[in-house]
Amino acid sequence: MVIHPVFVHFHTGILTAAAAVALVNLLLRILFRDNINTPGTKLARLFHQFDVFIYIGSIIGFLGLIAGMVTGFMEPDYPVDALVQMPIMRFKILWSVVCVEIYLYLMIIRAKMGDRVWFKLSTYAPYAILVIFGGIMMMIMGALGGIAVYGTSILQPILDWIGIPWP
Amino acid sequence: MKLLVVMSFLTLVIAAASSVVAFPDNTGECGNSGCHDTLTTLTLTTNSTVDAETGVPFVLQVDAGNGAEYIAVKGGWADNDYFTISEPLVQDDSTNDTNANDGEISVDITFIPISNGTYTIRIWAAAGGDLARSFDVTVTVTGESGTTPPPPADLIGIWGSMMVLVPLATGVILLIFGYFALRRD
Repeated sequence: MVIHPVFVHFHTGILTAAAAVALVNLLLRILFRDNINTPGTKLARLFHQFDVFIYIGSIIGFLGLIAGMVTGFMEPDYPVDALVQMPIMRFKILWSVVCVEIYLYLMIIRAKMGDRVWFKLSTYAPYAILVIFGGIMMMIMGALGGIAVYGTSILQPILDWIGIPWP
Repeated sequence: MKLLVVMSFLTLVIAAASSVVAFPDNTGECGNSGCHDTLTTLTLTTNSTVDAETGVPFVLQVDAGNGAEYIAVKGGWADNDYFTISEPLVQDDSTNDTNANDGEISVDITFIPISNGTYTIRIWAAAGGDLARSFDVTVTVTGESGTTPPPPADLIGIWGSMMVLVPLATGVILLIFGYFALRRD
């Protein structure tokens, strides 16, 4: 039974979307600092909604990531010994673990600090950049899964164009 | 504005959920052209034993069928490094494939032994989806003792080290970030 794909699409989409939203929020925070700190303005409300989206998306994504990792090792046709023979799978396993750490960090920081996570540069810069980095890594890992199963991915032309080689 | 954000989120949820809709009538596993194509077997045939001589080429005709898309004789597998291999990777319907049928590959691969001894050549074939199979050929090589190939890089060993070091380094970096984020000014 192929169970892994069922558990990976949803959170990959959520985390990729969260990365895009984090990029927007980072730009808003840098460009419109005064507006987003003024309660009641449209920009402040938008910024707050985006912040909540990132937070909830990270939680959903974290749980999905765990589920995806567990089901990834449950495929009867691919025991662990066979998986680690493939460079693509080694890449996916390694960066999945790193992404778990990243989303764990993001959840803890956001849970403890709330909206204040966006106040200081030393907090919001790592926070936003890690959301973006995690989303990109999830997107790449999803693309590698597509290549492993179907031989190609819709992301392949983009990364080929950028010049990033496949592992 | 809230409505816009909620609608955007719901659109994402619906899009994600629709990508994993099940079709209960299709009970097979996912294969090459979309889900539920079942490929039950993958045939791979060639000679199983060969006698050869150092520096003298010999040919193995490798046939793979039932959906085969690739035949590969990669360096680093078994004793493949003890041979010079003419076609390390052949794709279905490529110029080296003498079988014009889709999902069937026939190729003549020339091997040149570089040292005497008894070696195992490992040939691998893969079909679409998740189906693959390997086949070992035992080759007894007589003649001169030639060069010995350098041992292949232990990629899995390197990866095993990285599985410890990279998450550890990431954890340290995140702890530093966390310290600066949570410390009281």
